Amino acid sequence: MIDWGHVAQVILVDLEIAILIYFVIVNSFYALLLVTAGLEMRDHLRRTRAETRWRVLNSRVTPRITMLAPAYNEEATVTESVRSLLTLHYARLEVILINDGSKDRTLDVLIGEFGLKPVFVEQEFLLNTQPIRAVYRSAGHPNLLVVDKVNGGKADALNVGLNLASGDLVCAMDADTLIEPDALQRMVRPFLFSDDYVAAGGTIRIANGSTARAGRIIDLGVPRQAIPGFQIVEYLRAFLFGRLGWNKLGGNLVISGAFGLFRREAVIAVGGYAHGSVGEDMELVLKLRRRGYEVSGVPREVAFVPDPVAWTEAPESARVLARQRDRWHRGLADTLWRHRSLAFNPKYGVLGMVVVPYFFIVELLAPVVEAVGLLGLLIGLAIGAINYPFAILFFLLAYGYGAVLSIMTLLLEGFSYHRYARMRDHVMLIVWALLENIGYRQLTVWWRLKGLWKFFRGRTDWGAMERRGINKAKAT
Amino acid sequence: VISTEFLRWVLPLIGGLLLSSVLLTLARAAFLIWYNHQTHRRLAVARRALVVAVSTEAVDIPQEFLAMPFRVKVRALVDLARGVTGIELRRVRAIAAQVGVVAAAESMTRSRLWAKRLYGARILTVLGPDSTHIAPLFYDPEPLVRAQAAEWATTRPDEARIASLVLLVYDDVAFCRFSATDALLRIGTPAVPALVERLDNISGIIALPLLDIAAGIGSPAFLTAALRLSKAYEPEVRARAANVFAAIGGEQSIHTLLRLLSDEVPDVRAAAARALGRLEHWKAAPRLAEVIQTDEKIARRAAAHALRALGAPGELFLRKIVRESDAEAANAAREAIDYPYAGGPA
Repeated sequence: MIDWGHVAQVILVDLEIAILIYFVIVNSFYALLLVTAGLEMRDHLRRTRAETRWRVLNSRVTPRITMLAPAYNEEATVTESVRSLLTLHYARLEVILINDGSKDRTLDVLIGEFGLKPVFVEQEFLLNTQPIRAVYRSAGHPNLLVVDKVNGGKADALNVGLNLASGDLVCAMDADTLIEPDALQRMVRPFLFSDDYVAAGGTIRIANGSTARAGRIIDLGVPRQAIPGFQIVEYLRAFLFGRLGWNKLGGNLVISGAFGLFRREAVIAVGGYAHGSVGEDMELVLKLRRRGYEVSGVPREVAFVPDPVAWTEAPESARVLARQRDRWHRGLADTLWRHRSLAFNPKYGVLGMVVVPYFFIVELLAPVVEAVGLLGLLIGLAIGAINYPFAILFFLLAYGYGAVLSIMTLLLEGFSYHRYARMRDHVMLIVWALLENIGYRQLTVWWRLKGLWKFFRGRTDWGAMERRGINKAKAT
Repeated sequence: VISTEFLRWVLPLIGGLLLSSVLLTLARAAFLIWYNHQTHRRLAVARRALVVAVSTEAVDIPQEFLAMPFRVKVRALVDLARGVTGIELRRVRAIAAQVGVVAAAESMTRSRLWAKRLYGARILTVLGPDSTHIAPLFYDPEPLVRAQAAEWATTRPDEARIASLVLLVYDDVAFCRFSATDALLRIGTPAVPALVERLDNISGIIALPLLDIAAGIGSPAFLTAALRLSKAYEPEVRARAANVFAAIGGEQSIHTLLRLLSDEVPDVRAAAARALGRLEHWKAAPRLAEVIQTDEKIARRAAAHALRALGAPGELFLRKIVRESDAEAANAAREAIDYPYAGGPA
């Protein structure tokens, strides 16, 4: 007779051992990322010490930048967003706002506010897109172009912008992102430094809890609500140690869709943003890097620059956050699936052997492993395969290590930019970092699992994002 | 694999690490808040003292400024130097020398550490005199330092430095090339002899960066080289030579541009059309109108914008093309008419 109880016990213990090994490998990699992020930050601070950017600001040889701002039903905030873009401190600047078939008065508001007149533009159909209804220009702002098109999603809107852009570089962003005035001067550095760079990303920070006026953050604060508070810690960790660390370990794979700078020619060469993908920003970066190896055999560089900052409003309700995380994870799965041939392929150098496998094993599978581990732990405890002291100690260890990484990120922020000027904000950040692993993290695991499930079912919808609006809610 | 005993042993370590990182973060935050407040206060005092010293041309430097730490002195001096010119800038620089900031920066430029050399060069760029310490930095192994030397030379050009900048235009690192090009464009006329000498002795695509600088400066001294390079084998070179003609003007330039308007490569024809537009050579209007109606897209668009730049005569041609020509030509003309300013996109 087979002793099923014993079999279950053996399986559970083996499973827990496998998960432990995964836990050790992943966390060792995180530690490595933290160290490389620290080294990269040190180098960055050395490079920018006493730096003057006036040359970049008014030089005749800096690359022209086109800001691509897709807008869908942004009637309430579009004027302020466009004004803040037009006043960015970069001389050779063009702003293209793409009205992606908004159902509200977004276009009417823009026409009224900026005195737009319809113009004829001979288009170059380098990328296939939904039809354009009309193109508008403003006599008062000759560097502003407004495009009204049939709805086709963010990727399609950005492709329209790519077709019409006159800049050597294009900056893809969300219409509601608040970009700091000198961010472009900072973000353009990698492109000035080497012709090998095809993309650069800046830091996205959360504006909840801060005060904005005229499209600029004027008073930075940490929210008292848990959900945006946890996200502040998450974003700091993702940008200050995740992406910065990758600069030294083989280059980044993610440039945030809310604020990224790309070489236009390179983006067009890879066919622009992919339609039908919910992770179009990551997909584009992967295509750009992949093409470098395939066409010239030379890796194309993607840099994360820590000091250009763009502010975004994080979801404040669990419902909206769930939709966002589900979509992000579907996007990750979709992108990795489209480019699965890269994984462990030595032809693609560090991209194929380190970066893509990391994203497969750590970023994509993490929620699965974590869920299986938690479930196994509960079942193991229930049937007595795992003893309570071990489970409690292991939970404390995992929690403690996660919290240490988060706190280290806050420390890195303190050693680099120290944007928060009040002690209570630092205390709040520490509180959110300590609490993040209890409950919130498990919720994000569930949301990401849902994303994976939807990916397997072929769902590509975005889900509505509800925002309270930084300006509306907090303007003084 | 992992025993409970092992976890019991590791857990206090993690706990200790967590506690110490929390304490360190709090301590760092408290220190920074105090430090920023202190620096802010000191900077205000230093700036006030400095402004008084500069505006009254006082012989003695105020004691409160002398008592400031080095970094505060540097920041106050650099901030003020960036906002003043002429006598006041000379006075700020003299104070920087008197308080030892210049000497310290000069000594930094000799450091083994690139970050120090860079910091020293950056201080000297704003506060430094016509120092001999920078010259070796044009050949520094660190690209950022070389680029900084180029920035320093922008406001202190002499023959040797301009020669170094011309060499730096061909540096392996793009940022050094950018810095040298930018510096030469800002230097302008004093850089012309060195650029002409170099342009006279090169041909092919190696001439491209210097042709761009020549187009930016626009001195008639570049005419001979541009005429020679307008017959180069490489179309990029001919196109860039057209840009130089647009900046120089004159009969020979116009004559050559009209010839380039019939070049075999559309990009060259487009560059020639743009150049004729920039020169507002209205006599070329019929020829440009012909290009719009017969040429390839890139040349058509350039010619249309060039016609718009010619003012009323060009616009008459454009409107005629919209009414009477085929769709492709009419589209190019309509786009130029609708463009918010004459000359088209940069």
